[in-house]
Amino acid sequence: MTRRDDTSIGGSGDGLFHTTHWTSIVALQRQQDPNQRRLAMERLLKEYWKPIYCYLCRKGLDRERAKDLTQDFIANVILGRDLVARADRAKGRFRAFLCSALKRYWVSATRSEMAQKRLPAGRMVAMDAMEAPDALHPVTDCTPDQAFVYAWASSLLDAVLAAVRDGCCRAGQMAHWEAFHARIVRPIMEGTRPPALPEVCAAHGIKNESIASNMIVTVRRRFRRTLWEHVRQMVGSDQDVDAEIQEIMQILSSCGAGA
Amino acid sequence: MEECDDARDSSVRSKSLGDESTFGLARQTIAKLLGIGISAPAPDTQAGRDSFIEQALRARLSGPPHGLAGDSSPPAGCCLLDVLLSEQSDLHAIRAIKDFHKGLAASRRSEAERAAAVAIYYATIASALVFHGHKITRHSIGSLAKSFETLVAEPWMPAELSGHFSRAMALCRNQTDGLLPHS
Repeated sequence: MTRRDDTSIGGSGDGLFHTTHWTSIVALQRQQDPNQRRLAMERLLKEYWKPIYCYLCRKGLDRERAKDLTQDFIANVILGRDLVARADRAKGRFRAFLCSALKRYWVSATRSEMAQKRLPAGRMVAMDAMEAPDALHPVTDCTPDQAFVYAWASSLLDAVLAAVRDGCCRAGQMAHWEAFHARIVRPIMEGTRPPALPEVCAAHGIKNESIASNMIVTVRRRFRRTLWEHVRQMVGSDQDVDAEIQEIMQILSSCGAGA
Repeated sequence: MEECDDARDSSVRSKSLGDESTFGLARQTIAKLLGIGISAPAPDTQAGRDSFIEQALRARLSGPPHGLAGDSSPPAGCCLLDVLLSEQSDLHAIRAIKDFHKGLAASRRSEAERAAAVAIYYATIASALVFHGHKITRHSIGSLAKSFETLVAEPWMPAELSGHFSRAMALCRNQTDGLLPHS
């Protein structure tokens, strides 16, 4: 059944973040087994280090120092201080909550130089994705907060696109995904004109334009639902989901526009 | 699942997502990609448009009937389609649903939502005609017959409603304006 606007997917607005995977990570971290703790750290780093790293880079840190502090923030603030357990709707959306915690951490780190003393011994996870010289180009004229949002949105999109593709694959709809990607995603990513539907049909073995159009609509709907579900984990209620996405888009649009 | 893993490792992945990450793309590009998830896509073809309308209509039909108050409410778990196709449905309830969807059709919504609302509006009129022998609109019987005929022919019309409209259309063709009470 098609999801209706008033359908409560992800639960009712109970005031708590539905950070299912976060809480599972925290549970792992609380275990005594060092391997489990390391796993928790790795999962957090893998999924959320980019926004933290971008913020710190835009604060003026060189890349190596930013990488160190990113890991320190995750280890000592997010995990060390049980940040997820303390997050609630009263403190805003989780993105804003995390960014606020990062700001406080930054003030503390620069003021007391505690960060230098707390740095983990050696990096736990390689952050190779940031090694490219132009990796931070999109945020060079952004504020640290805007850079955080940019990386947050990028990580969100990566997760959503991967989930949509995997979902299509499990449903035996890889051709659907291919058509959607060719017609919608790739043209946006590459800044090119979308291929005509007959071209999409020919490239992906689809019988006719009508079928191709319906296939694309199907995946688009899946994308929408998946994005909604991902964002739902980071906001306090169903009603906040669209507002959160809109706000992220507005911040991205305002970057470098004198903001 | 195994097939998915295979696909992930194959050229399919490199062609369609591969090791791509959106990180590094322009900010506006990221915003546009997010927009896929919130904007109502403009259908590329008539088939796409029809698909949108069908989805919107099915969503409404499978949901609770809106526009009802208090005593008119149907039993729990009863969806709008059940109400429209049941001869047990109360005429007041049918009229209330009609009025609600008339307002919905006149509001500034997407083409698909408007079309779905119009279809439901006519479906309530058909219900009143078929199950109660009442004409709950000022439209003439001849006009209704034409409207039902048009709706039956719509490619996006679900089969259940198509049959409903066909019955109403047949009824209209066998009647004249004066034979049905107007309420």
